[in-house]
Amino acid sequence: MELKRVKVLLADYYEGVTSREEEQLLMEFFLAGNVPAGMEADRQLFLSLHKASEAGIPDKDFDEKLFAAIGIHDTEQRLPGKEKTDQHISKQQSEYIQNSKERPVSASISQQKGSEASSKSKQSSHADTIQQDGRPTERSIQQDGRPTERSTEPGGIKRLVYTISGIAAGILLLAGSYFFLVERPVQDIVSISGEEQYTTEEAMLAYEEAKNAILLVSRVMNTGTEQLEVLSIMTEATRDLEMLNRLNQGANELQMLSKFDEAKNKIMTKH
Amino acid sequence: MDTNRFKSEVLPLKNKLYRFACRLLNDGEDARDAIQEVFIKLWDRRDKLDDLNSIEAFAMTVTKNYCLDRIKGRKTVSIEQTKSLLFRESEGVTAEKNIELKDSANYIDKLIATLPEQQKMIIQLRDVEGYEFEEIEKALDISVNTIRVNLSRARKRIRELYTNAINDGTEKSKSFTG
Repeated sequence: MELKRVKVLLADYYEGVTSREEEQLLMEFFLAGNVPAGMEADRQLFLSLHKASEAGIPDKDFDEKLFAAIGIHDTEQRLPGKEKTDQHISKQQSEYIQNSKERPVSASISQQKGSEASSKSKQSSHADTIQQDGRPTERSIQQDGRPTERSTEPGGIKRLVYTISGIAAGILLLAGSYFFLVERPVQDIVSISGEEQYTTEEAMLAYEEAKNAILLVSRVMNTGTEQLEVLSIMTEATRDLEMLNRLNQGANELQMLSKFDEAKNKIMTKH
Repeated sequence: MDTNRFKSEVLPLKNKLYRFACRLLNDGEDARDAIQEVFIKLWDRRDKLDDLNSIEAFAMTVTKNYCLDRIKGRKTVSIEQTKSLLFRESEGVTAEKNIELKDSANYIDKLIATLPEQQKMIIQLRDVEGYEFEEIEKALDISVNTIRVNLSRARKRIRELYTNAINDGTEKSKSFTG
């Protein structure tokens, strides 16, 4: 491509009026090399834009992760929400404790931990058995509705253990939800403290928008003013009209005549 | 839309969307997370995708909205970064600048990062992805006229910043040698 043509196209490019084809011609020109020294900035810009078009997601397992996420996302919609699951767990805990009558508090703690970090943490075999015991019971609960009441046997000690473990489970649930929710207020605080910045950003956005609008007006105006050059002829013409000033001066001198008029009036009234 | 069509028609957009998100968020990891979220959103609406004229334009719109929300959430950081970069431009801290200039493609990316979001999006879609103005209009919901004006501004601004940086650097090095 001729250098002359490149310069024309580049000027158009910076005005935002080139077509896609013309921009591709420019890109080919800059990628081919042999660019004159005066066009270094343009060359760097085109090289950078070209380089940017070749980038991609670096993770090779992105698709798998995505499908896993979509799968989880899908099941989340079908299963009850997290809070509900927690309630099921506490019911299931109390049921388990009732059956085992063994170390109620520690059992429910390890259960809670187990359900929160089920797959990755290495749990004790004790917790594993709980989980294995727990899963089917949970399912049976979901199917039957409210089985805990039904399985309760009236009995002094059992009743006491049931009450204690119920309270323990309740406390754990509260503590769990506290730790679960405690991060959100922190985020709120951060966003509140960033409020001033927020308004700055909004102001900058508004400023940019206003600038764009004014720029648009100025562009249209520039083409309009070209046609207004005819007006400069008018300015020249007004110079000729300066002669009128002399007329003005003459008129001022004629004010002397008003005194003549006054004198005439005085004479008239005396008569 | 079933899973196979989603894989063959929507998933191939991932790199384009990723590059777009990178431009807006200035962070590869954030961009990758954003794209995952975007694809989950698209998957949730897969039944509606068939009715669209352009799935790509819709996917871009979803990505744009997600990223802009994300920027709003963390704006303290991004504004500070932008300001500091602009500040450095005007102050002309040359030592750092000369190091940056060694990798000029990277440097121009940094200059683009100082542009307003709208200009970033427009220059990305036009000059990197090769969109027609009408396609940008659809994806970003901005009129063709505004696109032209902002595209011109963005291109000129980058050239100006880059030229200033180069001149600044050479002047300083002259004064060092002289």
